[in-house]
Amino acid sequence: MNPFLWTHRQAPGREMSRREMLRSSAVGFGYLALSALLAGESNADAKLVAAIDPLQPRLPQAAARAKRVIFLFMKGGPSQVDTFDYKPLLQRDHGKPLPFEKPRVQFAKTGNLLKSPWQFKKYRQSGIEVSELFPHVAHRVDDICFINSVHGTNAAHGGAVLKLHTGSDTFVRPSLGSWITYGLGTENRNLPGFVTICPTLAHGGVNNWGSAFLPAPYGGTPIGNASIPADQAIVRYVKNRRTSPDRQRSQLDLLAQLNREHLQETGPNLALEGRINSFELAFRMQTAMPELQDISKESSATLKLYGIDDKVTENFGRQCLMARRFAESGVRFVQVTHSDPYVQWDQHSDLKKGHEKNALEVDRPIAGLLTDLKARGLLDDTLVVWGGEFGRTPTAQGDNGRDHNPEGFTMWLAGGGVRGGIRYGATDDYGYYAAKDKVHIHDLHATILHILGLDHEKLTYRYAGRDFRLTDVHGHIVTEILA
Amino acid sequence: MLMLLEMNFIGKSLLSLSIALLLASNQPVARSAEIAKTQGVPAQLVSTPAERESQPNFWAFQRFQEPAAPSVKDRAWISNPLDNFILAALEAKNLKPAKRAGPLILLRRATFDLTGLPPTAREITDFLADQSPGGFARVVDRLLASPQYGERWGRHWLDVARYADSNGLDENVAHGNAWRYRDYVVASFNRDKPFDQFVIEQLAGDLLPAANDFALRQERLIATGFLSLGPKVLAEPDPQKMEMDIIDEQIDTVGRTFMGLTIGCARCHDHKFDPIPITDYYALAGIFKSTKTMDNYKIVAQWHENSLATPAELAAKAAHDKAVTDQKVALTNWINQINQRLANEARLRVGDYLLAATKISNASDTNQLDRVAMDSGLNVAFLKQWHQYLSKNAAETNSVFFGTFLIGTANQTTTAVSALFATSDYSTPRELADLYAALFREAEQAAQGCATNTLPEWKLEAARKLLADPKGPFALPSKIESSYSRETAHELKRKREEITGLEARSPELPTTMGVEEGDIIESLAVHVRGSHLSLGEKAPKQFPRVLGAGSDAPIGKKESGRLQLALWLASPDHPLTSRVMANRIWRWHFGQGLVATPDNFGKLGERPINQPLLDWLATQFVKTGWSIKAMHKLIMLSSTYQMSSAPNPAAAALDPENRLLSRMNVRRLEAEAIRDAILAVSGKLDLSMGGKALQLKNREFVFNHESKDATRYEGYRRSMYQPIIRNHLYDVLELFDFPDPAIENGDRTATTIAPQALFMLNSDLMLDAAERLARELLENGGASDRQRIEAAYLKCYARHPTTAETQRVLDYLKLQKTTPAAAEAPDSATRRLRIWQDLCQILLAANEFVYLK
Repeated sequence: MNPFLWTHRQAPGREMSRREMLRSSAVGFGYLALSALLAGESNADAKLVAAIDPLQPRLPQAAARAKRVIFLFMKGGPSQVDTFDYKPLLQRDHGKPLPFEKPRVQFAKTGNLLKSPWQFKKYRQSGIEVSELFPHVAHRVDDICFINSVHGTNAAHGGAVLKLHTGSDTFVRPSLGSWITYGLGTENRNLPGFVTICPTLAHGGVNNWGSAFLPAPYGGTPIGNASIPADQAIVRYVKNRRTSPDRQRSQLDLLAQLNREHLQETGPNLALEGRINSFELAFRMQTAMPELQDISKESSATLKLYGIDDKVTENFGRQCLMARRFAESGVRFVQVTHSDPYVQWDQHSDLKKGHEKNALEVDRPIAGLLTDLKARGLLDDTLVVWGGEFGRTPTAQGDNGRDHNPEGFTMWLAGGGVRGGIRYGATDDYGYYAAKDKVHIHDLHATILHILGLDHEKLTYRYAGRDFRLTDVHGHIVTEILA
Repeated sequence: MLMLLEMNFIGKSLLSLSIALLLASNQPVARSAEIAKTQGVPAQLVSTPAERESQPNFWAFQRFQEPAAPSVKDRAWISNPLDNFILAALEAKNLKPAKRAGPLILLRRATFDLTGLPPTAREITDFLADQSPGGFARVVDRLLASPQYGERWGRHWLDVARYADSNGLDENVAHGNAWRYRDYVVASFNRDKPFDQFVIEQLAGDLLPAANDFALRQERLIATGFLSLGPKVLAEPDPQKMEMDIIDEQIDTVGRTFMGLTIGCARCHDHKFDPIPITDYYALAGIFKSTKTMDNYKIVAQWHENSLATPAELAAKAAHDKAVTDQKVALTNWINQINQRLANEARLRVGDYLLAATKISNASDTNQLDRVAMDSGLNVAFLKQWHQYLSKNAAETNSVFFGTFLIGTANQTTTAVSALFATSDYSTPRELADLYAALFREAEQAAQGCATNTLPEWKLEAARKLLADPKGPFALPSKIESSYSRETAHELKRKREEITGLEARSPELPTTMGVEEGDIIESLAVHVRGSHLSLGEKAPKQFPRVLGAGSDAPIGKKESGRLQLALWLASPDHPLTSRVMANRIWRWHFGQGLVATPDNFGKLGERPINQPLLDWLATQFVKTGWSIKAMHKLIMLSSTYQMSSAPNPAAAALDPENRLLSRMNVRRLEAEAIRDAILAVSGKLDLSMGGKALQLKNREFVFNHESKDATRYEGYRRSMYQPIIRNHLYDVLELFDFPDPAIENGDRTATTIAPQALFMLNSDLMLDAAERLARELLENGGASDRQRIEAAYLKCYARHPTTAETQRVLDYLKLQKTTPAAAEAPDSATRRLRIWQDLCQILLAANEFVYLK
């Protein structure tokens, strides 16, 4: 059987010693022994892995189309009808009432139909319509699979953001990135498996990259947060301004001696051994992380590609470039968050001004990222996901805004074995409800896991007497979009 | 419609053998099969309601009696009957218990166990000096009596109570008064409050009679914070769903906390593994539906808080409010007086205003207005009003001013004027203005003498109407205050500021998160598939039937039933309450419960490794009047607790997870203990107790949209007094496995991750502590390096170093003096400090510091 269908009775941590006595050396790190052990019973092995080497790279359960994910999160809820879901009838019937009922639960009251203030044009071979908000991304449409029929369940930011990231807007659950890292480990042993660049601390905050009941190593490692410019964002405690590296090296050598002696007294103990390892990993990470974040050696052409040469696009461009560098270095799940300090993509009013500003900041960097990934051959096994926690109403809030709309909106995927240049699913004539080939957030999650070779029904974790999964009891894989 | 309720789903690939075995029957009834189908669960793996009803024999649901202590061979090892249970189980496997731990290991173990702090040098000396029988018992007594005991064990309870200083979830607002509950818990442990009372207070403290004991009443109101502390989706657009979600959180927490049961699993359907039908869930839900937890369900919704104000505070507040009101009334009177005076003055000078108004060419030119007003000695606000009135009305045929005093012209010869005044004895605007003035004077006098309030003569009546017109030129202008004299304006500002200041000083009445009886007392209907939009059969309020509650729970028509629920849980013969808590206490002493899943005693939880011992402990617990301190003594004075943690190969082979306890477990310190110990040994720990932790106001957002963190983790107080912010924990706590404070958790993990090592290597907290410790050792640690090493080991590890250890450290010190890094130091004192600082940091980072033997 596949050893990675893990079931844990409990998060690891206290002494795990069932197999310990099999090993003669009290100080062996057990990496080699581990792979051998993994051929055995899955339950105990998962505990062992989590205790001593949680991020060990693991083969997926099934054939994988992608090895890693870059999630471009647009905080606040970009409007589908103003970006990637062109609705001619909305333009025609501007000012008229919506000809069908609005949802039972709405976040705020909205009025009549509000046409998009932007023109749409067909692009490239696929001829997919994109609004003038995304002129650069528009030229990548042939690589992109637009899902126009995404729908969620929560009309408020907090719930919707949590739902998108964890599958639950009711309970604290592990993040998508945590599940994936739990399932696949990481390919670079000097780095965390799940990194989130400048995440927002509002609306769920840490829960959006937290491991919840999954073991701690599967939680996302934040690099700064949304209030910190990307060029100043670092992993906490990764820098030491007081102790030089060679002093630290001497310290670590002494520490290893003390710890090994302590281990002799306690007897074999995976947690204690794991802790000895963790200091060495930390020491390596101190070098690896700043190197990865240092983009000074990138060519000026690359910097330009990501818009780092322009003040408007610099910040998000840096985040996207960092994301590429992390992905390239084997980080399993990289999230990049666009969350401007005002109202993000949340244009209850001033739609034109707000969306224009937001789109301007992200359009070039995102197109640059796609171009760069493709040029490096990384797009083949990297899945890029774009979207916000919900879309916006085609009806007007006030006279120039749109309200939250979880009933039907657009997210897009690119790379990683997804069919490019297609639109999947559709909203109604006005872009309010997902109408055809609906894709719920759970379905999106199931599909992302599937692309990574993980079965959303089998990737489970036992906690408090229950086997939990990302998609709870839901989730259908959208096979139609797979290449 | 929306159906976002979590299902109690069990992945089909994952049913362990034990579960499959538990599910006795392979013949599901239709309903069960249907659930199984809709949820993708193989039907044969789901137990039917009938099966569950017929399985009350499951150990956890049965009442139990005090088991007799089993006999053992090695009677000399027995310190109290607890040991009989442990030793009998070991002997059954031909295992021997470990030797007694050395005195200093015991001292460190007990001190961290009971207080979360390392023993001090003084405590070490005292204990070593008192090796008479009962020496260790005296240590336990001393530790139990120290206030730090309540902090340590209170914090354990706060894990279970999912205590937090912020809401978390979607709208992360401050629980500004949660600290009162935290302090209540600490005090309860320190006072050894009987656990049954502790249970009742937290669920129904508001319903307990407190007679005239005000402090007691307050304490009990604070206790109900337990029910209110959960995370809530405060911006859920569907208020009914929000309410049911909050109730669900309460049921789930109460079930797990006191009974180790996942009752929340029965929200959408009968519990799949435990005999809890969906009707039991809604029977309980009715109790919480009839309880007021929330004041409203708006976006952002507001939780309820009970007032803690004393009569004196209420009186002070009322007195203060009255003082504010009095001052406001006085100010209004003062303003009215001034305004009245100004209005009267304006009436006396109608003619002047008429003339002056015509001189205004542009009313929005305040300079011009001011100049004209000043030239004529008029009030600028009235002048502006006259101007506006005339501009608008002098061209109106029905105006008394029709055709005259047109702005800028002062046209005087119109029919209206002729009609008004019998005389035409005027040749200048001044004279006409005086005629108008006389007319208004006459009308005013006439009106005063007139009973009917309507003057018979049309001219006078027209003038009277204008005098009384609230929009007319005589009315008090809305911006009259801007025309006050400098002195008056100054005085007005002073008076207003005085009132604002007074209001700001208004005493804030203390409130506390908590519940009270709801406005509506009701029972709920079953929510089919958990949706409030599809209701099923009625579920009258009662307690889970499998626990012997029967169907006759005496809940009156006007009661929520919370008090009955609390009393039922706290009854001595409840099959779970005492066992669950006894198991928690055991877990917090040994690092592993007798039931290894302390929060789940149901069928998906673990079976007790030694049920007779658990039952015996639970019986003792009840017998001692639910005294937690008595349980500590019972446990800590046993030979079992005092065993060494030295490895035993024979036992490790047979019982690798040490479930039978053939030796003491090696345990990592919890996050709080790690930080507190670092601060303690480096001489910085501040032991002041209790009080508010957050700098935020109650209900203030922890984060705004900018993701700026407003919470400060400053100072050197014990870690349990740092703010507990859901979604964004204090990083030191988060790093070392502080449990998610949104969920009940009595079983912390201890993971080992690289970021912990980064913290140990690079954090200011560690570097500062290492430097302090180094300075202290260099200054007061003795005359030689040897003595300093001795002092360092005592501080950090509560033991003396071996000769080899001392030598190793001496070698390290010597080697460091010769490194290039050492050469960079500006002087020898700095060099020495750096070397010692690096050493101290490693002593604090080492496994021995963060693990207990």
